[in-house]
Amino acid sequence: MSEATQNPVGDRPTAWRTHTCGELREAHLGAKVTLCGHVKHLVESRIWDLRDGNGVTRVTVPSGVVDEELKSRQMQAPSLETVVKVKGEVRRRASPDPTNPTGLIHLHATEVEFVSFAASNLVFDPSADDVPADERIRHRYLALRNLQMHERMRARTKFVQALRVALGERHFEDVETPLLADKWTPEQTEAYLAIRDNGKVFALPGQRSIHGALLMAAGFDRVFEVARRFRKKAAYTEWQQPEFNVLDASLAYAGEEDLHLVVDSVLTETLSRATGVEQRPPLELTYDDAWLKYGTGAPDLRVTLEIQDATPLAAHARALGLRELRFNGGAVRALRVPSSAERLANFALRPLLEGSPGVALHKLTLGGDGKPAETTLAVGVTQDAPLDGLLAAALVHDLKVGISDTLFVAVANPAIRAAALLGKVRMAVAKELKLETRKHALVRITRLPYVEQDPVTLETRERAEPLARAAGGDELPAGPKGELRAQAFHLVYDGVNVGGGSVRNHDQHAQGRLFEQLHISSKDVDQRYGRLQAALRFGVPPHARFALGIDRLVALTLGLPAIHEVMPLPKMADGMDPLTRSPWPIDNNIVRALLGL
Amino acid sequence: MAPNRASDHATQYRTHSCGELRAEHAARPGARPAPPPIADELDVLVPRRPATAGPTVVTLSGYVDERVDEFSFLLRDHYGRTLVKADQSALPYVPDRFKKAGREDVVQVTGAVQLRLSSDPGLQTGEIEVICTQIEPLSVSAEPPPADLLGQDAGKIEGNAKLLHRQLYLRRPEMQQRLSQRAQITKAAREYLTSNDFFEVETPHLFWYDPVAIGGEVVPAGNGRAWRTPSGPVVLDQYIIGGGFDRAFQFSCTTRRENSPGPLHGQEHTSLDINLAYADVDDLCKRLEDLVAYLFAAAGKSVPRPFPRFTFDDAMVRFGTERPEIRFPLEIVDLGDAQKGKVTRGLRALLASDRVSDADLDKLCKVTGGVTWAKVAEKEITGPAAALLKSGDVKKKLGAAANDVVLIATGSTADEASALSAGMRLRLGEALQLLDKDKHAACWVESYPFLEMDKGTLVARVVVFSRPIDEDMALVPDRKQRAKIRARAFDLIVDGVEVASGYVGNHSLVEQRVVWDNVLGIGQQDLFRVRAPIEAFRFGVPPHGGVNIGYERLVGRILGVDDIADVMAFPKSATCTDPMLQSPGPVPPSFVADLVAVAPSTKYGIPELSEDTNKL
Repeated sequence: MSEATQNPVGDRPTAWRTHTCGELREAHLGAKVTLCGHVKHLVESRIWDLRDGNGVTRVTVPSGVVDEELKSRQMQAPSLETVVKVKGEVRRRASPDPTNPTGLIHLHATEVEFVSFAASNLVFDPSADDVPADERIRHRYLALRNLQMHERMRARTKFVQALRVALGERHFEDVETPLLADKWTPEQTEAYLAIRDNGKVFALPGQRSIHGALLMAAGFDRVFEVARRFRKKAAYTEWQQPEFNVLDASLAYAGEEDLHLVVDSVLTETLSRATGVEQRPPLELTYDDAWLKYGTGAPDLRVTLEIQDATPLAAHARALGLRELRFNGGAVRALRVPSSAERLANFALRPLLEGSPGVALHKLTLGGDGKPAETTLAVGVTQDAPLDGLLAAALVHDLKVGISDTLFVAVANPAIRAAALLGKVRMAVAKELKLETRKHALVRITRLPYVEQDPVTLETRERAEPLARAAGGDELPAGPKGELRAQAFHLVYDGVNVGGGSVRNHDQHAQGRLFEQLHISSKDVDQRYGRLQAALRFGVPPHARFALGIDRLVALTLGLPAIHEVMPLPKMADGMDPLTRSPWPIDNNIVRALLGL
Repeated sequence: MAPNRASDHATQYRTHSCGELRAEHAARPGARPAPPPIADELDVLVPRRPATAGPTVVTLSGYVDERVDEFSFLLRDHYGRTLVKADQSALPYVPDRFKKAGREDVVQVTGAVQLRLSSDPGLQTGEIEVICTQIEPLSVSAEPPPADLLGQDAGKIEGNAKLLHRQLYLRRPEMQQRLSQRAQITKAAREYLTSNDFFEVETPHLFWYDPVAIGGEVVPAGNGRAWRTPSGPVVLDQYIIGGGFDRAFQFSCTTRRENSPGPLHGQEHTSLDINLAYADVDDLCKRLEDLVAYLFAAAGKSVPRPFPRFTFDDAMVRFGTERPEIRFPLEIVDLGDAQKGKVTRGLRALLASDRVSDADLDKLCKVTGGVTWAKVAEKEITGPAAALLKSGDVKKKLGAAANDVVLIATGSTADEASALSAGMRLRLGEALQLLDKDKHAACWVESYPFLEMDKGTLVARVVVFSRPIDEDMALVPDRKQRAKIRARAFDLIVDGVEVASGYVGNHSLVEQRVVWDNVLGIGQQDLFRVRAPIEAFRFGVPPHGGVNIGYERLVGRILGVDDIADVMAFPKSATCTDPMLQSPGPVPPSFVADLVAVAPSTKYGIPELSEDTNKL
């Protein structure tokens, strides 16, 4: 026993060390140990902080130890980040550091070996907290040494493992699918292509992968994988990267209730386990309600402000244009911000209108007499005029605008433009007034439309995948395709889209009718879904699929503003990899030869 | 527990899976249901008795598997098969959709669980049957599925047929089971690694374009630039090591351009990479052995520990190969200069002379070539090699005694002798039926030479980041000795299959450069190919090592499956195509236009290394 305390073996001894830099405590006082690590910080030329992946330990090197080696290299002390091996005795520190778990002790060195010297022109000190993000991507191997990055990777590992455990408990099995899999089809506008010889290409898997459905047709019951996905763009936002990880899961013999139950429980359990804070099940909101109340399909429900529809009140307006709005698809929407008049007095509206054409935005507060006195005009493209007085009065009355409240009013046709603009105002106001009431908010947006309208360009685009089962089941209601809703959802965490899912059509006749009603031509169907439909022709169980964005979820749980912060080797916003300066120029003849041109 | 308890597998479409119903689910064990009343005009099956009073009423969903007769079939899902019978009491009225439900139609049936008159021990659910009172087709197979794909004998199915209708081939119970077991093993691997505080640190797939790399895919980025997918994560791992991670792992999908794919090579496979800092060969082997044994145990198998360790040189003599099959004990002995100018190796099988006939030995020697045999008896030695065995100390060296069988391999070089002796060892083991295929054995082969001879030139056989072993360190500066220098590189061999390889890297960039220059011949002009460590290591790097596990091979060994394609969901054909998805497909026209728009260059545009890197 006494021998054990004299020369204890640590948690993870190796050929190079007896202990890590994170484990020595008071209990080890007097022990003879060997540590290895990077020189993180020179307290003095003879007092170093040593860092490995587990922590930081203070080392004191008495004179007489390594004097000659340093002298021969004409050094006072090793350069920062040099890797050293130190043998010595654990002693009590004269001035303990309570913030460091090893802060009560230091290692009194008896032998020091320089294992791997660092060049003296260190690009930046990896321990520093103020290195710009671009630099940290450029010299990633240095940035990763910061123990904060280690903590993030630990959190990421823990998150993924918690997710896998939660899925495993629900009988999901990990089935890996290939990287080189599907061929390219025209709707894959953001696909990376891998050239094979003889002029043929694979499309690297994008967001919508085919394999989950194939596994359902192959008779598996519940499958998942945490898979790499690719997306080719000219510029990426902070929530996008050329490569990212998703959880892709499929479950057989499942309907919408089953799907929601699984997603809700898996996600809440994972978030609770990974963050240590009990996560409540997601709130549920239909897509239409989300646009109505929050002016976006991905609402941030940490903010409780809600938009109200005031279109019926336009009947009171003096202007004919306003009165007619409700009959031709336009809308008046209002956002009441309680007790904010003073703090929002100088709130700038103009920047919010940029990129939001065709909307009139008004800010309204009450005068001392309780009447709408101070109607601030904002610039709208269609109506460059003050808010109609009668409408203003009706709004104040009906929406119970109080004396210190602010009311934002947006008028537009089509309605979605008013909604989108107030959605922006809502978030800007929340930011200005710091209205976030909760740490995190998870919401499931259900009943997605198959097509939605872009509020700026007014063009329609696909929302739910056309493979999703219609909300009413196999009986499709008659009506325009824009009104058709799917048994599909997406998940929004703190206003960021983190996943989605849908129940799929298992009846190929119902699927055919749906394609027809969505006006997808048989040529397009063939091109996009021909391979899948061929595979499903031997029968497929009723099934559902869902996906979660791993990088986004991890970043959001850690409160980080970008996914590159939780990725080991991310790329820059333009998609370049500064570490290897890739992509590289390639001999065009090689590509031509590969393509058979 | 009440028989009506909710199943774990209950969904909107079923109360139970097809694999979980047992005798306990039938309400009155032993008792057969009373004869039901004669039915009148009913065109559908209706429950004869209220669900609560009688046996458990269940709803199952699955594929119609084998049909027993018009009134019964097996219903199959991922978890098993259950016998479904039409309600006999409704006999004249059994609807067509029950009788005509075809093979592979997806149907939902509801009915009472009943004990079978004679149970079927071959089926987990063999004690019971479900008396179907309702049947609902969910998804009907549009055409009869190719019968041979679902039939009994997988061996007879031609390779591409397995891929063309992969979704059907995967429905076979053995494929369902293998992929489930693979999932189980993956789960165990992750449990092991995360509970031992390994971080999952993943590296990208879009990586630099290396014109010389043999593996990987060219992925154009536009504007005359391209990425290449790495043919393995080892180069990118150097950045992770440079990032100071103590213990890291990743499962990574790896593509490689295989000219001769076979049961152990695929166009794409998964590798499990493990990296350790402050580690040497022993640390890596210990960790990997622990993990591998854990995975065997997780699959209900075992592998003897500790795994024996052989040096490369040793393995080449004792087993004639760097991939020893040690599930049977025969060992080869070097007989030195027993024959002048030749390399002679011998093998003794203890007390085997009764178990193999002379004719079989003749045949064995003929097939192998360059091999002769002898049988030792009390008084005499018989067989073609008798003369050699009688000369010198050959018999003594082999330790041959009465009733032993001896095989002798003769080659003009050591390599030839090794190859011959490896062949004769395996064949003799087979002839003597020494190999128990249900058992497993693992061993290490270590201290590989850096280089091997390939068509007359020396090429690298180990990871180019490997560090020489201590004894050979002194030889490194001498270029003439380069073929002799051995690396801290090792392989894990399971059942004669290489399932993992590992290395310990150089932690001094100076030493690394010397090894590259003198041993591997990677000069200044080639440094861009190995730039990762140069950049990551110039600011100090821990002594480190890594292991790369060919994951399908390991899973294949654990499950006793020889072809890695049989433990993969979607393998590709030998020419790297997927017949089911018709991929790869044609190049999109816009893509060609984009490539052609950029003026062709004739030189590789290799970006310069940063200045200080070149100075090192």
